[in-house]
Amino acid sequence: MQVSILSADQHNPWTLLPPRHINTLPPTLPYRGGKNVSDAVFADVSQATYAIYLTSPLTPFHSYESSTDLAYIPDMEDERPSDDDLDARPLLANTILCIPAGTSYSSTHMLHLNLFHTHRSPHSSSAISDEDTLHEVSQNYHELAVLAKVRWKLRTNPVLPFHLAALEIVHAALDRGDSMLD
Amino acid sequence: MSVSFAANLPKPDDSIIFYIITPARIVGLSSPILRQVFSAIKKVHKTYPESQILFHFVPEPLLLGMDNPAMSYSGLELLADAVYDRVLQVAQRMMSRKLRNDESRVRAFFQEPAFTLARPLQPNVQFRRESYVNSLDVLDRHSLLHIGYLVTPCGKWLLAACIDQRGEAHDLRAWLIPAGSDEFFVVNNVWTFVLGIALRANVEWRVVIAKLGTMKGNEVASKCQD
Repeated sequence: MQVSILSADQHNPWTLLPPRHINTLPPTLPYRGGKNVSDAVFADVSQATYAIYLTSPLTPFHSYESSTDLAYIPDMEDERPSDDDLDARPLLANTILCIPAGTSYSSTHMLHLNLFHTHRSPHSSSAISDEDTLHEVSQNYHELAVLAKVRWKLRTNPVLPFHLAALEIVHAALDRGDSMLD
Repeated sequence: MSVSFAANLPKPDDSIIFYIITPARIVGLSSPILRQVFSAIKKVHKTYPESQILFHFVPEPLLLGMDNPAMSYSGLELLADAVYDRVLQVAQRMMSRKLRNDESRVRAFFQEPAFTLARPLQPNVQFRRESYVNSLDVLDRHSLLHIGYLVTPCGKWLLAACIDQRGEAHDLRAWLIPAGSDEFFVVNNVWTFVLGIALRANVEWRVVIAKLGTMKGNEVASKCQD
Protein backbone atom coordinates (compact mmCIF):
# COMPACT_ATOMS: atom_id res chain seq x y z
CA MET A 1 0.00 0.00 0.00
CA GLN A 2 1.21 3.47 -0.73
CA VAL A 3 -0.09 6.47 1.19
CA SER A 4 0.28 10.06 0.01
CA ILE A 5 -0.67 13.11 1.98
CA LEU A 6 -1.64 16.27 0.21
CA SER A 7 -3.65 19.36 0.80
CA ALA A 8 -6.29 20.73 -1.55
CA ASP A 9 -6.59 24.48 -1.33
CA GLN A 10 -9.52 26.10 -3.08
CA HIS A 11 -9.49 29.54 -1.47
CA ASN A 12 -6.32 31.03 -2.88
CA PRO A 13 -6.93 31.47 -6.57
CA TRP A 14 -4.44 33.21 -8.76
CA THR A 15 -5.45 36.38 -10.45
CA LEU A 16 -5.44 35.92 -14.18
CA LEU A 17 -4.79 38.90 -16.39
CA PRO A 18 -6.17 38.91 -19.89
CA PRO A 19 -3.52 39.01 -22.60
CA ARG A 20 -3.10 42.17 -24.67
CA HIS A 21 -4.29 40.70 -27.89
CA ILE A 22 -7.33 38.65 -27.24
CA ASN A 23 -8.03 36.39 -30.14
CA THR A 24 -10.52 33.98 -28.76
CA LEU A 25 -11.06 30.92 -30.86
CA PRO A 26 -14.41 29.26 -30.44
CA PRO A 27 -14.14 25.84 -28.83
CA THR A 28 -13.91 23.21 -31.54
CA LEU A 29 -16.46 20.46 -31.31
CA PRO A 30 -15.20 16.96 -31.95
CA TYR A 31 -16.41 15.33 -35.11
CA ARG A 32 -19.44 13.23 -34.38
CA GLY A 33 -19.61 10.24 -36.72
CA GLY A 34 -23.15 10.83 -37.84
CA LYS A 35 -24.70 7.56 -38.98
CA ASN A 36 -24.44 5.42 -35.90
CA VAL A 37 -26.32 7.29 -33.20
CA SER A 38 -25.45 4.90 -30.40
CA ASP A 39 -21.75 5.71 -30.75
CA ALA A 40 -22.23 9.45 -30.43
CA VAL A 41 -19.81 11.19 -28.11
CA PHE A 42 -20.84 14.41 -26.48
CA ALA A 43 -18.39 17.01 -25.23
CA ASP A 44 -19.27 19.47 -22.53
CA VAL A 45 -18.25 22.93 -23.67
CA SER A 46 -19.80 24.82 -20.78
CA GLN A 47 -16.45 24.97 -19.02
CA ALA A 48 -12.81 24.31 -19.77
CA THR A 49 -10.56 22.62 -17.23
CA TYR A 50 -6.78 22.79 -17.26
CA ALA A 51 -4.16 21.14 -15.12
CA ILE A 52 -0.98 23.04 -14.38
CA TYR A 53 2.00 20.97 -13.35
CA LEU A 54 4.57 23.04 -11.46
CA THR A 55 8.13 21.85 -11.78
CA SER A 56 9.10 23.48 -8.52
CA PRO A 57 6.45 24.45 -6.00
CA LEU A 58 5.92 28.08 -5.10
CA THR A 59 6.93 29.20 -1.62
CA PRO A 60 3.73 29.39 0.39
CA PHE A 61 3.04 32.83 1.77
CA HIS A 62 1.71 33.32 5.23
CA SER A 63 -1.96 33.70 4.54
CA TYR A 64 -3.91 35.55 7.16
CA GLU A 65 -7.03 33.47 7.26
CA SER A 66 -8.89 35.75 9.59
CA SER A 67 -7.66 38.94 8.01
CA THR A 68 -11.10 39.88 6.77
CA ASP A 69 -12.50 39.72 10.29
CA LEU A 70 -9.98 42.07 11.86
CA ALA A 71 -11.00 45.67 12.25
CA TYR A 72 -7.42 46.92 12.10
CA ILE A 73 -4.36 46.10 10.11
CA PRO A 74 -1.94 44.17 12.32
CA ASP A 75 1.59 45.43 12.64
CA MET A 76 4.19 43.13 11.19
CA GLU A 77 6.80 43.99 13.81
CA ASP A 78 4.69 42.99 16.79
CA GLU A 79 3.32 39.68 15.66
CA ARG A 80 5.94 37.37 14.41
CA PRO A 81 4.31 34.13 13.33
CA SER A 82 5.90 31.13 14.97
CA ASP A 83 7.18 28.27 12.89
CA ASP A 84 4.16 26.17 13.71
CA ASP A 85 1.80 28.64 12.14
CA LEU A 86 3.53 28.87 8.82
CA ASP A 87 2.13 26.85 5.98
CA ALA A 88 4.15 23.78 5.23
CA ARG A 89 6.33 23.73 2.17
CA PRO A 90 5.13 21.06 -0.25
CA LEU A 91 7.29 18.62 -2.20
CA LEU A 92 5.29 18.92 -5.38
CA ALA A 93 2.38 21.06 -6.45
CA ASN A 94 -0.24 20.96 -9.17
CA THR A 95 -3.16 23.19 -9.85
CA ILE A 96 -6.49 22.44 -11.47
CA LEU A 97 -8.07 25.40 -13.17
CA CYS A 98 -11.70 25.52 -14.20
CA ILE A 99 -12.95 28.35 -16.40
CA PRO A 100 -16.64 28.56 -17.26
CA ALA A 101 -17.12 29.29 -20.92
CA GLY A 102 -18.11 32.73 -22.06
CA THR A 103 -17.07 34.57 -18.90
CA SER A 104 -14.26 36.94 -18.13
CA TYR A 105 -10.95 35.95 -16.64
CA SER A 106 -11.96 36.84 -13.12
CA SER A 107 -14.50 34.11 -12.47
CA THR A 108 -12.24 31.09 -12.41
CA HIS A 109 -12.09 28.30 -9.87
CA MET A 110 -8.74 26.89 -8.86
CA LEU A 111 -7.71 23.97 -6.73
CA HIS A 112 -4.10 23.81 -5.59
CA LEU A 113 -2.85 20.34 -4.79
CA ASN A 114 0.28 20.26 -2.63
CA LEU A 115 1.91 16.91 -2.03
CA PHE A 116 3.71 16.72 1.30
CA HIS A 117 4.64 13.15 2.00
CA THR A 118 4.50 9.66 0.55
CA HIS A 119 4.92 6.48 2.48
CA ARG A 120 5.22 3.03 1.01
CA SER A 121 4.57 -0.02 3.11
CA PRO A 122 7.40 -2.57 3.16
CA HIS A 123 5.61 -5.09 0.92
CA SER A 124 4.39 -2.52 -1.53
CA SER A 125 4.94 -3.35 -5.18
CA SER A 126 4.41 0.11 -6.58
CA ALA A 127 7.29 1.77 -8.35
CA ILE A 128 5.31 4.85 -9.32
CA SER A 129 7.07 8.13 -8.68
CA ASP A 130 5.56 10.97 -6.68
CA GLU A 131 5.28 13.10 -9.78
CA ASP A 132 3.32 10.48 -11.68
CA THR A 133 1.11 9.91 -8.69
CA LEU A 134 0.30 13.60 -8.47
CA HIS A 135 -0.42 13.77 -12.20
CA GLU A 136 -2.81 10.85 -11.96
CA VAL A 137 -4.44 12.35 -8.89
CA SER A 138 -5.03 15.63 -10.72
CA GLN A 139 -6.64 13.87 -13.66
CA ASN A 140 -8.72 11.68 -11.39
CA TYR A 141 -9.90 14.69 -9.40
CA HIS A 142 -11.18 16.22 -12.62
CA GLU A 143 -13.04 13.00 -13.47
CA LEU A 144 -14.54 12.81 -10.00
CA ALA A 145 -15.56 16.47 -10.18
CA VAL A 146 -17.50 15.77 -13.38
CA LEU A 147 -19.10 12.74 -11.73
CA ALA A 148 -20.05 14.80 -8.67
CA LYS A 149 -21.80 17.35 -10.82
CA VAL A 150 -23.58 14.85 -13.06
CA ARG A 151 -24.47 11.89 -10.81
CA TRP A 152 -24.98 13.47 -7.45
CA LYS A 153 -25.91 16.95 -8.74
CA LEU A 154 -23.77 18.66 -6.13
CA ARG A 155 -23.82 22.40 -6.47
CA THR A 156 -20.52 23.54 -5.03
CA ASN A 157 -17.28 24.74 -6.52
CA PRO A 158 -17.15 22.90 -9.87
CA VAL A 159 -13.48 22.08 -9.52
CA LEU A 160 -13.94 19.94 -6.39
CA PRO A 161 -14.09 16.15 -6.71
CA PHE A 162 -16.91 14.29 -5.04
CA HIS A 163 -15.37 13.68 -1.62
CA LEU A 164 -14.18 17.27 -1.15
CA ALA A 165 -17.48 18.66 -2.44
CA ALA A 166 -19.36 16.43 0.02
CA LEU A 167 -17.23 17.80 2.85
CA GLU A 168 -18.07 21.36 1.77
CA ILE A 169 -21.77 20.61 1.76
CA VAL A 170 -21.77 18.92 5.17
CA HIS A 171 -19.74 21.80 6.57
CA ALA A 172 -22.20 24.34 5.13
CA ALA A 173 -25.13 22.37 6.57
CA LEU A 174 -23.52 22.27 10.02
CA ASP A 175 -22.79 25.98 9.86
CA ARG A 176 -26.34 26.80 8.94
CA GLY A 177 -27.60 24.48 11.65
CA ASP A 178 -25.58 26.37 14.22
CA SER A 179 -26.85 29.73 13.10
CA MET A 180 -30.43 28.49 13.06
CA LEU A 181 -30.14 27.37 16.67
CA ASP A 182 -29.11 30.89 17.61
CA MET B 1 -52.00 -0.90 6.66
CA SER B 2 -49.15 -0.64 4.22
CA VAL B 3 -48.01 -4.18 5.07
CA SER B 4 -51.39 -5.58 4.11
CA PHE B 5 -51.40 -3.49 0.94
CA ALA B 6 -48.02 -4.88 -0.02
CA ALA B 7 -49.25 -8.39 0.69
CA ASN B 8 -51.99 -8.02 -1.90
CA LEU B 9 -49.62 -7.04 -4.67
CA PRO B 10 -48.43 -9.75 -7.01
CA LYS B 11 -44.81 -10.65 -6.50
CA PRO B 12 -43.10 -9.85 -9.75
CA ASP B 13 -39.37 -9.83 -10.23
CA ASP B 14 -39.44 -6.15 -11.03
CA SER B 15 -39.19 -3.40 -8.48
CA ILE B 16 -42.19 -1.64 -7.01
CA ILE B 17 -41.81 2.01 -6.14
CA PHE B 18 -44.10 3.88 -3.78
CA TYR B 19 -43.90 7.65 -4.16
CA ILE B 20 -44.69 9.40 -0.91
CA ILE B 21 -45.52 13.05 -1.38
CA THR B 22 -44.35 14.96 1.65
CA PRO B 23 -45.46 18.49 2.47
CA ALA B 24 -42.72 20.71 3.80
CA ARG B 25 -44.30 21.17 7.22
CA ILE B 26 -43.93 17.55 8.28
CA VAL B 27 -40.24 17.44 7.46
CA GLY B 28 -38.35 17.96 10.69
CA LEU B 29 -36.22 16.09 13.16
CA SER B 30 -39.03 15.51 15.64
CA SER B 31 -41.95 15.04 13.32
CA PRO B 32 -44.34 12.29 14.53
CA ILE B 33 -45.87 11.72 11.08
CA LEU B 34 -42.46 11.05 9.56
CA ARG B 35 -41.67 8.67 12.39
CA GLN B 36 -44.79 6.64 11.67
CA VAL B 37 -43.99 6.55 7.98
CA PHE B 38 -40.46 5.32 8.68
CA SER B 39 -41.65 2.58 11.03
CA ALA B 40 -44.18 1.44 8.42
CA ILE B 41 -41.42 1.30 5.79
CA LYS B 42 -39.23 -0.72 8.14
CA LYS B 43 -42.07 -3.17 8.76
CA VAL B 44 -42.61 -3.71 5.04
CA HIS B 45 -38.92 -4.35 4.47
CA LYS B 46 -38.80 -6.79 7.33
CA THR B 47 -41.81 -8.69 6.08
CA TYR B 48 -40.61 -8.89 2.50
CA PRO B 49 -36.83 -8.88 2.55
CA GLU B 50 -36.45 -10.40 -0.90
CA SER B 51 -38.64 -8.21 -3.06
CA GLN B 52 -37.48 -4.86 -4.25
CA ILE B 53 -39.97 -2.39 -2.79
CA LEU B 54 -38.71 1.17 -2.82
CA PHE B 55 -40.18 4.09 -1.00
CA HIS B 56 -39.28 7.42 -2.54
CA PHE B 57 -40.13 10.71 -0.92
CA VAL B 58 -41.22 13.44 -3.30
CA PRO B 59 -41.42 16.98 -1.93
CA GLU B 60 -44.80 18.60 -2.35
CA PRO B 61 -43.43 21.84 -3.85
CA LEU B 62 -42.26 19.78 -6.83
CA LEU B 63 -45.85 18.84 -7.67
CA LEU B 64 -47.21 22.28 -6.98
CA GLY B 65 -44.58 23.88 -9.17
CA MET B 66 -45.47 21.81 -12.21
CA ASP B 67 -47.10 24.80 -13.89
CA ASN B 68 -43.78 26.56 -14.08
CA PRO B 69 -41.99 24.87 -16.99
CA ALA B 70 -38.47 25.79 -15.86
CA MET B 71 -38.90 24.35 -12.40
CA SER B 72 -40.83 21.31 -13.53
CA TYR B 73 -38.07 20.25 -15.93
CA SER B 74 -35.22 20.46 -13.42
CA GLY B 75 -37.31 18.88 -10.68
CA LEU B 76 -38.40 15.97 -12.86
CA GLU B 77 -34.83 15.39 -14.00
CA LEU B 78 -33.66 15.16 -10.38
CA LEU B 79 -36.50 12.82 -9.49
CA ALA B 80 -35.91 10.54 -12.47
CA ASP B 81 -32.18 10.36 -11.84
CA ALA B 82 -32.65 9.62 -8.16
CA VAL B 83 -35.13 6.82 -8.77
CA TYR B 84 -33.03 5.35 -11.59
CA ASP B 85 -29.98 5.21 -9.37
CA ARG B 86 -31.95 3.59 -6.55
CA VAL B 87 -33.49 0.81 -8.60
CA LEU B 88 -31.18 -2.16 -8.23
CA GLN B 89 -30.33 -4.51 -11.04
CA VAL B 90 -30.48 -8.25 -10.56
CA ALA B 91 -27.45 -10.38 -11.20
CA GLN B 92 -28.02 -14.11 -11.23
CA ARG B 93 -25.15 -16.46 -10.77
CA MET B 94 -24.80 -19.19 -13.41
CA MET B 95 -25.25 -22.57 -11.78
CA SER B 96 -24.85 -25.94 -13.36
CA ARG B 97 -27.98 -27.17 -11.67
CA LYS B 98 -30.84 -25.41 -9.99
CA LEU B 99 -30.77 -25.30 -6.22
CA ARG B 100 -34.06 -26.54 -5.00
CA ASN B 101 -35.07 -24.24 -2.20
CA ASP B 102 -32.68 -21.43 -1.87
CA GLU B 103 -33.09 -18.96 -4.69
CA SER B 104 -31.62 -16.16 -2.65
CA ARG B 105 -28.13 -17.53 -2.64
CA VAL B 106 -27.69 -17.17 -6.38
CA ARG B 107 -29.21 -13.72 -6.77
CA ALA B 108 -27.74 -10.43 -5.75
CA PHE B 109 -28.78 -6.88 -6.38
CA PHE B 110 -26.38 -4.26 -7.53
CA GLN B 111 -26.68 -0.58 -8.06
CA GLU B 112 -26.23 0.54 -11.63
CA PRO B 113 -26.10 4.33 -11.69
CA ALA B 114 -26.98 6.42 -14.72
CA PHE B 115 -23.53 8.01 -14.96
CA THR B 116 -20.27 6.18 -14.38
CA LEU B 117 -16.62 6.62 -15.16
CA ALA B 118 -15.63 4.25 -17.91
CA ARG B 119 -12.83 1.77 -17.51
CA PRO B 120 -10.10 1.86 -20.16
CA LEU B 121 -11.02 0.04 -23.35
CA GLN B 122 -8.07 -2.33 -23.15
CA PRO B 123 -7.78 -3.83 -19.70
CA ASN B 124 -4.23 -3.59 -18.48
CA VAL B 125 -3.32 -6.81 -16.71
CA GLN B 126 -0.36 -6.69 -14.39
CA PHE B 127 1.23 -9.85 -13.13
CA ARG B 128 3.68 -10.06 -10.31
CA ARG B 129 6.03 -12.78 -9.29
CA GLU B 130 6.56 -12.85 -5.58
CA SER B 131 6.95 -15.52 -2.98
CA TYR B 132 4.26 -14.20 -0.69
CA VAL B 133 1.13 -13.03 -2.49
CA ASN B 134 -0.58 -10.11 -0.80
CA SER B 135 -3.28 -9.43 -3.29
CA LEU B 136 -4.82 -11.61 -5.98
CA ASP B 137 -6.05 -8.70 -8.02
CA VAL B 138 -4.48 -8.20 -11.46
CA LEU B 139 -6.66 -5.56 -13.09
CA ASP B 140 -7.04 -2.89 -10.45
CA ARG B 141 -3.67 -2.92 -8.79
CA HIS B 142 -2.59 0.50 -7.58
CA SER B 143 -6.05 2.02 -7.88
CA LEU B 144 -6.34 5.35 -6.16
CA LEU B 145 -8.40 5.56 -3.00
CA HIS B 146 -9.20 9.18 -2.23
CA ILE B 147 -9.86 10.33 1.31
CA GLY B 148 -10.72 13.92 2.14
CA TYR B 149 -10.99 15.32 5.60
CA LEU B 150 -11.87 18.67 7.07
CA VAL B 151 -11.79 20.14 10.55
CA THR B 152 -14.46 22.81 10.76
CA PRO B 153 -13.13 26.28 11.62
CA CYS B 154 -15.09 26.31 14.86
CA GLY B 155 -13.06 23.25 15.87
CA LYS B 156 -15.99 21.06 16.87
CA TRP B 157 -16.36 18.65 13.96
CA LEU B 158 -14.07 16.36 12.04
CA LEU B 159 -15.57 15.35 8.68
CA ALA B 160 -14.15 12.67 6.41
CA ALA B 161 -15.27 11.43 3.00
CA CYS B 162 -13.81 8.82 0.71
CA ILE B 163 -14.29 7.67 -2.85
CA ASP B 164 -12.40 5.25 -5.03
CA GLN B 165 -10.81 6.02 -8.37
CA ARG B 166 -13.86 5.20 -10.49
CA GLY B 167 -16.55 6.48 -8.18
CA GLU B 168 -17.91 3.00 -7.54
CA ALA B 169 -18.13 3.27 -3.76
CA HIS B 170 -18.09 6.15 -1.34
CA ASP B 171 -18.53 6.81 2.36
CA LEU B 172 -18.91 9.76 4.71
CA ARG B 173 -18.27 10.09 8.44
CA ALA B 174 -18.40 12.82 11.02
CA TRP B 175 -16.89 12.93 14.49
CA LEU B 176 -17.47 15.41 17.27
CA ILE B 177 -14.06 16.56 18.47
CA PRO B 178 -13.84 16.46 22.29
CA ALA B 179 -12.60 19.64 23.85
CA GLY B 180 -8.89 19.77 24.46
CA SER B 181 -7.83 17.17 21.93
CA ASP B 182 -4.92 17.70 19.63
CA GLU B 183 -3.80 16.66 16.17
CA PHE B 184 -3.52 13.00 17.12
CA PHE B 185 -7.27 12.67 17.51
CA VAL B 186 -7.70 13.81 13.93
CA VAL B 187 -4.92 11.60 12.60
CA ASN B 188 -6.04 8.47 14.46
CA ASN B 189 -9.66 8.73 13.44
CA VAL B 190 -8.89 9.48 9.82
CA TRP B 191 -6.48 6.56 9.70
CA THR B 192 -8.97 4.06 11.18
CA PHE B 193 -11.54 5.31 8.66
CA VAL B 194 -9.03 4.78 5.83
CA LEU B 195 -8.19 1.25 6.96
CA GLY B 196 -11.85 0.35 7.30
CA ILE B 197 -12.51 1.32 3.69
CA ALA B 198 -9.29 -0.03 2.20
CA LEU B 199 -9.75 -3.48 3.70
CA ARG B 200 -13.13 -3.94 2.05
CA ALA B 201 -11.59 -4.84 -1.29
CA ASN B 202 -8.66 -7.09 -2.06
CA VAL B 203 -6.77 -4.49 -4.04
CA GLU B 204 -3.39 -2.93 -3.51
CA TRP B 205 -4.51 0.64 -3.02
CA ARG B 206 -2.67 3.88 -3.45
CA VAL B 207 -4.25 5.94 -0.74
CA VAL B 208 -4.36 9.69 -1.22
CA ILE B 209 -5.33 11.66 1.86
CA ALA B 210 -6.25 15.25 1.13
CA LYS B 211 -7.05 17.97 3.56
CA LEU B 212 -9.40 20.66 2.37
CA GLY B 213 -7.51 23.85 3.04
CA THR B 214 -3.89 24.69 3.69
CA MET B 215 -1.73 22.58 5.95
CA LYS B 216 0.49 23.85 8.67
CA GLY B 217 3.97 22.56 9.40
CA ASN B 218 3.13 20.77 12.62
CA GLU B 219 0.22 18.92 11.02
CA VAL B 220 2.49 17.43 8.40
CA ALA B 221 4.94 16.38 11.09
CA SER B 222 2.29 14.60 13.15
CA LYS B 223 0.96 12.82 10.08
CA CYS B 224 4.39 11.68 9.00
CA GLN B 225 5.04 10.22 12.40
CA ASP B 226 1.95 8.09 12.22
